[in-house]
Amino acid sequence: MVSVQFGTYTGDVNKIHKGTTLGTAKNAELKQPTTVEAPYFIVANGSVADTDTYAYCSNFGRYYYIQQVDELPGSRKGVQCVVDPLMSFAGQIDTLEVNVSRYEGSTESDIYDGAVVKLAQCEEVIEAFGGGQFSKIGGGNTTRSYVLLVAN
Amino acid sequence: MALADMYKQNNVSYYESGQGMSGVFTDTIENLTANGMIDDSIFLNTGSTWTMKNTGTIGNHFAWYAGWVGGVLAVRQGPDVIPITYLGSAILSKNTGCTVASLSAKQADGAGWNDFKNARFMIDAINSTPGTASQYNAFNYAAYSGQKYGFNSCLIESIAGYATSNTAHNYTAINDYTALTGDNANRIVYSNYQVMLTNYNPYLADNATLGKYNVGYIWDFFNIGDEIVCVRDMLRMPNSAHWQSWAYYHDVTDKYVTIGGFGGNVVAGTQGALPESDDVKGIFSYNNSGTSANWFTTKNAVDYKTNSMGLRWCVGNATISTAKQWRDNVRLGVMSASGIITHNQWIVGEAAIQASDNPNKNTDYDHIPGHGGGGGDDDDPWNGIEFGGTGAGGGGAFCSVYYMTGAELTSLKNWSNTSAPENFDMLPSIIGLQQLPIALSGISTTVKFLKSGAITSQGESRVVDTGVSAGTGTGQPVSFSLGSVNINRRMQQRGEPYLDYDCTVELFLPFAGTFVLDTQAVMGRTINAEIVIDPVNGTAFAYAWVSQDGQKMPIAYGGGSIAVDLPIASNQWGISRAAFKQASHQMTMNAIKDIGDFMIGLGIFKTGQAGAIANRNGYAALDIKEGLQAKQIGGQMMTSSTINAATDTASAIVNAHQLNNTNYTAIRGSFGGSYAEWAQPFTAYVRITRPKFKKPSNFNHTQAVPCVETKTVGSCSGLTICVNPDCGSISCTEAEKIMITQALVGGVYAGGGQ
Repeated sequence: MVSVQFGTYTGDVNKIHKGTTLGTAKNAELKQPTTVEAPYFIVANGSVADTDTYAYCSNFGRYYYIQQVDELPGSRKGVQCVVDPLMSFAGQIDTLEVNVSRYEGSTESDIYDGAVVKLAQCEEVIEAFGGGQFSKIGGGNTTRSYVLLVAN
Repeated sequence: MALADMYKQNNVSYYESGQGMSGVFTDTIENLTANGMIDDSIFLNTGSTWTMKNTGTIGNHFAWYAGWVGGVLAVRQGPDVIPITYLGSAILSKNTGCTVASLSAKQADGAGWNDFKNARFMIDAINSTPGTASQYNAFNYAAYSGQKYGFNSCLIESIAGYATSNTAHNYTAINDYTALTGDNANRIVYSNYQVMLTNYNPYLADNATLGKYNVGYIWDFFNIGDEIVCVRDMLRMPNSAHWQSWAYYHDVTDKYVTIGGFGGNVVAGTQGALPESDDVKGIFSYNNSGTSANWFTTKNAVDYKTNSMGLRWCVGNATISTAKQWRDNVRLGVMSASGIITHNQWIVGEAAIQASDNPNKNTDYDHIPGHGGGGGDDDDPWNGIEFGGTGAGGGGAFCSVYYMTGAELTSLKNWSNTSAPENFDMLPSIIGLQQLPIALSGISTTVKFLKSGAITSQGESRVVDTGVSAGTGTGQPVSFSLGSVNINRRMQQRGEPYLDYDCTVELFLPFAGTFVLDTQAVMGRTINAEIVIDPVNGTAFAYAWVSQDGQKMPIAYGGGSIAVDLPIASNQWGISRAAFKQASHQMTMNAIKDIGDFMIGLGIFKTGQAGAIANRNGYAALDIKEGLQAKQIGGQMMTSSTINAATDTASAIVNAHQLNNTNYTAIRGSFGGSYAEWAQPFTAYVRITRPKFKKPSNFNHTQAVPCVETKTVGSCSGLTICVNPDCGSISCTEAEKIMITQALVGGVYAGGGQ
């Protein structure tokens, strides 16, 4: 006999820290043989709702996705679960030191990103040099010189 | 007639009123329009009340040399008038009787002067008669108000004038400026304004900019942030006490900078060659850490007066920790990071080639040799080379180079036509004549020819002195800054910084053409460009560079011809055309046609004769049309029409703008001999083609931003993708470790939120 809480979760399946809404702990039998990664819980009829998607077994210390709920004889239900290792070991995963290739808050510059869609049309900017001394005759500049080369 | 009535009667915006008028006026001048001018000698004698009202704009001059003798001049804004928003270049001059009351009248209106941009105020009378304290108090008051209400880019020249006219006061007359002595901290704090009123106050600013309109003598610098930037060398250093520096407007005759008692970095610059006779282009003296009392000696002062060229730097007993170059063409190569430079040691940098006051007149250049003639330029290949003229370097043995104006050239023509010695033909002596769009000046002389072909009797001078004034030069190249442009990284601010390097940067250099630049070399940097013109052969060489760690890195260079060859004889014309035709083969036939048409359109030869030289030499097929055009370009053998043509640049340029180039042909370089060259931009440009991108608004969260980092998973947020994570430390089954590993590689949402 193990203790299981049934309920729902929020967030994508690949989210480490999911939000959960779990009910009170219920007693459950385990269909034998079983594994901690994919247990089959047998509970009383009212212990699990058809809308439940998530479970937590304190005996195993793991969170589970509910894969399937079976109607069993004797007003019982069988609940096929599969482990959510991210949520189950979120604390340990958080402390893992890993090499990261992408994350939301990266501030590194100049790494090419193939996920960004470049448009065919580019932006063109023409900028004149500023602060120069050289200008065309006209616009107030009437300067010119004649260079006369004379043999001597 | 009252002044106001005169104004209304004339109903003009420019009103030259005074003409020596004096008297007692009680006038209100209303609705003075833009560029209104009250000019010349309006004397508002005691008892006058002259009020300018409803003057939204007062133009270039106001009360120029208007005597202000005891009257009350109120340029005011008040409840019933339009605020004065612009008082451009106003000059209040000769105000011998200016009083505190007169200038403070505006305050009585309940509002300060709103914003004086580029205004210039001058109490000029003090040049001859030292002013009274009240005069300066009045201006101090105005300055104070200006500081409060936006006294931006103004020149208060009174103080400089005062300083020059009354040296004694430089030492002792601090108390002259007592109007607001208790307000020092507020009065002179201008940060990033080109206004500095340092008449006696310590200069207080963050990253001060001492600029064009600065004025005042520096009592001391302190409480300045990291850097003083002397945009222009407006501070004059007398040869005694260090704090006597003062500044003038642009009409300075010496350009020295001295700054003492300042512990931060100093970037000091000089702009341009001085036209003044002492040839001192700029001296910067900087005392960083030494005690200031003796660091600038009279000897040095003498030295800089006698040195002939160069941008000279004297750093006193300073320990230089940071020597920043002010402009890229100023090189401070010999300043070491921690070198201590003694007070009498000059550091000669590379002369800055900058405009003085009107940067676009093509008159402010520097001769290339030496770039100031000193250290750091030993590798300059131009050093010691002279191409002609009367220089002492050995050049010019067989050729004289005359720099002439159009008027001088006309004089030469007239001399040839009317005053030349009998049987003397100057044409054989003339090697070439060309026109350049720049001003060249040389040593004043007269044009002389040799009777090269004549047989002269012994003792007879072969020199024919035309008496026509000209400048004779060495023929050395001159250079102009083409300015600079920043190639800013923009994608950095837009989220995809790497795309900055997907940009294409193209550069156009006048007379050199377009260049596709290496984006890696220029992105995030400043491109500087310069053009070097050889007045002897009329070529122009333009180049651009970026700087890093004090080193110039050329990124593009090219050349072409800038001179317009002005033929003086038929055979020369033919040769010139042949050269042009050869060059033209690089263009499309349509481009050839256009330029050919254009050249004809220039009408260089006003009085052409029949029998075009070009036709005779067989170039008619290129661009010589029949009939009148052929005559227009026809060979005029002699000088008069040619020289007439040479002086006709203005119309030629107008025609140049009419060039209708219907071809989209990329042309690089330039051709000689045609005014068409001057139709191209004289400004350097860059064309930056930047990629555009698109991504969803939640991109960073759901698709994440690339990185190369080692982090804990818990410190990340949003989609987090890991590379070969090691999950061995997690206390779970092997099957679960595999699942976790796959999840981390495929991407998990880390952190608390989603």
